Amino acid sequence: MLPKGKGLLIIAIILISIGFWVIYLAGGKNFLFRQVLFFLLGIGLLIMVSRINPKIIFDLSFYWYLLSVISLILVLLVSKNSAKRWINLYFFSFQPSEFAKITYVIFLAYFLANLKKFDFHIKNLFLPVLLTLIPTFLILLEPDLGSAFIFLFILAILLYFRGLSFSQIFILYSPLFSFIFGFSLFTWIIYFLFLILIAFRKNTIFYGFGVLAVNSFFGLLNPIIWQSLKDYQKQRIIAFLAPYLDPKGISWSSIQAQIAIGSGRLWGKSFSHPPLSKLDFIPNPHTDFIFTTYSEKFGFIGFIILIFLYFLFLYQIYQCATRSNDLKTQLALAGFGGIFLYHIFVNLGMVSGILPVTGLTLPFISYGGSSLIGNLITIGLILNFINQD
Amino acid sequence: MKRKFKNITFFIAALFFVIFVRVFYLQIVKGERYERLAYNQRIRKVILRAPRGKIYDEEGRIIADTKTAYNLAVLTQEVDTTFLFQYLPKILKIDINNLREKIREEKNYPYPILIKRNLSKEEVIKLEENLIFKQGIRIELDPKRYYPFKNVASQAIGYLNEISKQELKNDTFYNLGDLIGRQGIESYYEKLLRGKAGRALIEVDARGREIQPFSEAKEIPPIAGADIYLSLNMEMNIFCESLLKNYSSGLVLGIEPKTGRVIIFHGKPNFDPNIFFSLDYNEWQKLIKDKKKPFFPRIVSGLYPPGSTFKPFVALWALNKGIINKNSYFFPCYGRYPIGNRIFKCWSIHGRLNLIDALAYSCNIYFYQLGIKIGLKEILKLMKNLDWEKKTEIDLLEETNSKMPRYQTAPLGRVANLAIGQGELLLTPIKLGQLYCALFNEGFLPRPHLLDSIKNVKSFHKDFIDSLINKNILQMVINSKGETVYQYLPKAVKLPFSKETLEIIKEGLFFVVEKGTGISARLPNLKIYGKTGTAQNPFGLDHAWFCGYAEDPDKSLLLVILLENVGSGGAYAAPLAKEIFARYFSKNVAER
Repeated sequence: MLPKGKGLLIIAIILISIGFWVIYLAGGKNFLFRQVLFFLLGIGLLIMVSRINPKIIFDLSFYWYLLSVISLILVLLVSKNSAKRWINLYFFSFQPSEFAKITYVIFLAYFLANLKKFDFHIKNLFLPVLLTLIPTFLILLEPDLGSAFIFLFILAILLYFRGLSFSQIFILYSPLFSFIFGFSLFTWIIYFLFLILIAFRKNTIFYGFGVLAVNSFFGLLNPIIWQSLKDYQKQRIIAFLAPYLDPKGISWSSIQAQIAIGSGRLWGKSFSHPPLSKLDFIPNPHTDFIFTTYSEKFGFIGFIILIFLYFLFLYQIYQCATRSNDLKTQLALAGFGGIFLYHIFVNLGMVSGILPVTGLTLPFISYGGSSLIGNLITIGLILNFINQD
Repeated sequence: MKRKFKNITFFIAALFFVIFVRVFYLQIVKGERYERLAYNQRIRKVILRAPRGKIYDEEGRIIADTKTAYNLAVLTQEVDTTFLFQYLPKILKIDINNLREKIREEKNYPYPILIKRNLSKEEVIKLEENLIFKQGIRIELDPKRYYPFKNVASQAIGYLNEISKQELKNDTFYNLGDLIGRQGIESYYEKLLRGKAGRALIEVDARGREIQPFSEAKEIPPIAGADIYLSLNMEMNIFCESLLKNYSSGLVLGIEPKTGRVIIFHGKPNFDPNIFFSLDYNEWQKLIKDKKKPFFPRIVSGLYPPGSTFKPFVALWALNKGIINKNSYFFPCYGRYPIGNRIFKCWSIHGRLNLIDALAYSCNIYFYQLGIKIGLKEILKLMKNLDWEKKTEIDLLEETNSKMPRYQTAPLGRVANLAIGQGELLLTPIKLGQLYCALFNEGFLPRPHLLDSIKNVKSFHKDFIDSLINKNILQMVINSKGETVYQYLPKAVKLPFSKETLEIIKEGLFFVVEKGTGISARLPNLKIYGKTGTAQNPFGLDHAWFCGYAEDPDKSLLLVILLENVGSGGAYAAPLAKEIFARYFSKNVAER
């Protein structure tokens, strides 16, 4: 008996069913069969997770967090692939980063909720930032740029729900932005002008200059580090962080993906037609690039339906978060919503060619055991938390 | 809480809207075109090969130029191989088995692969008539190398040929089918001369015809390599080629002693670097195995006994040590001289000679006795001091180390032989040239070099340029036009010889040409120094050496000439030196 959150589960199952279909189109029978098995396993875990006493989940959350950090270290040591993302468990490869996201959200929600007073001060922010950077760096080493940044994204959402304002969060993240924008002087100057406006608003002059100084430092750091590197070192870093990029220039697979999406047009293609994405030029057509097959088959109408379902899904999560009276439940739900939102946006952005190519799955649709089971466990946790109030 | 919910909903909607706009653009705005691209047409990605940097001589003549060539390429994934194998041999001369192999090996290569270079106009026309509309066949307009001076100084310039599989693996800068420098300057400065390939996407229709560039992806244009200016004077090199016309193997090396600039670098047998564009791998292997070894750059790789050209250094060492002076005499030369239980010979009967005359007439008996007097240890010490076994560090990878005797004690006969440059001392002509430079450069041993300067350096050359700067080979200067130019940084090592003793040796070398063995190098209006040499050759006639030097207020030139299997240096090599000096200093010779 699940009085609240039924909608979430229903939408998830609709999306997973669509996923089955597309996986069959893009990958074939074998992948579909395995995905169905993952689904059954995931549903079992979902039911289990939704019945555990939430007190246990939260009270032990530090150990969950610790366990996932250990597994992230383990994957770096054990995995023999060039991208160290999976631990091979014989029957399937386990991707620790998928579970690290969940445990991270639970632990941080618990941690932030238990702070008596929370304002924008370094003594409050130090620990949460540290707890975020640990998994970020571990995943960055795998390397998995896309999954690494998710922790930073979730932290921002959690801090917002814990009571920080947009401008405070912006200032907290500004050294990172400054570092990234440091790649080009022009964009950095524009960013810096914008920063000046925010830094001095509602703040003392002393404080404002402090922010600007830190930002200038990080902005300079980028070109200084970058220019001290030799060409081959730069190439190695680029190749390390973005292995999909064609080292020689034009990103072929990205362009092919865009053509495949575009060819779906308004209504999509007839089902007898073999999907373009099944030809050789799109990497992982059933996992990360599954949206190419989907939009080729179902067209723009299909895309609207998909994005509407996703929106509804996220809307419900945040609605539940808002309705809850318990702070840690609110935060946990906000964080879970962040995981889904990040995955959906970055995956679609990457496949449609507005974001760089990173290995992130499309929730519920992409083939992949860790991803699907992780998503279902997340739903199990959400159902658990909202039915306890 | 309500406000937060509103804001986060707005945030989600905003992110989704971005995706919405993008997918709308792809599927609705571009949909029709992309659908056509996806099914009726295709996009082909091609490599835009970059032209190499040019190579110039000291007077700005182009030694290595870039022209365009028509090359035949196929896309292994698209081409109909049965059709190709059937019709291509009817149109072109091509090895089908090779081609079959190549296409099979590269069947997953995403770019067109070159199967025949440098097509003639007729071949292009025939191909266009018959094949070009077949899928996956492409005629590419690629840069090719052209060497207008052909065989002249070709061993210094080097040549290009196709990059190997292994090299492709080691350096991702290259693409399959790229040409890479194989010898000489082309190889030593490969990382400067090479350009950076570009990329383009081209729309292709269902029949394989290329329609237009794919406008959604920006073309990455190719970037040309850096230009290299050499110290070589090609006019002089052509002249030397004509002088060597009647000799099957030999060499002329000309160096400016003060700077180490190599002006003349012509060796024979040699090759025409132009021929490689039309060769495939097998034909190329045949050429390499040619018995005459046309690729063997004897100036830097050949090892020869110096013969009498070594004598001035023995004398120099003895003078410096105070063992002899300018007027020292030994037992007179009667053509024969007993050492141990063997009789050693001189090439003539010279009678009583002082050092100057002994050099001028290249008397062996004088130098046998001098050698024995200073002893093996000192001769080895001399060679150590001359950096005998060190490379000259000329900018050619082919340079080999010269060789010294490995023993510390030896019978007197051997020592005597060493003193006249025979035996286990072998050196490369470039090393000999470098040593002679020191005699006319106040004892400074210059580092010989072919490179003068580098222009049009691009950012992708930076690492290599930096490595040359770190090795003290280059310096950056801004020239009068405001361009950045990288110039060769000359380097010289001081040898431990005093000025006075060098003057004595120079006097001896002057009389070599004035009245001695090198008299056939004499020119009435030019002061020429020289030394002849005859390197014993166990396989046939001796090799003829001549080392010579002349200068005028504007320029100076140190010559090393070696003619293999002809006889004595005085008779064969010295006359060539006269011609070369007369030509090089022609203006002044004529005026006087």
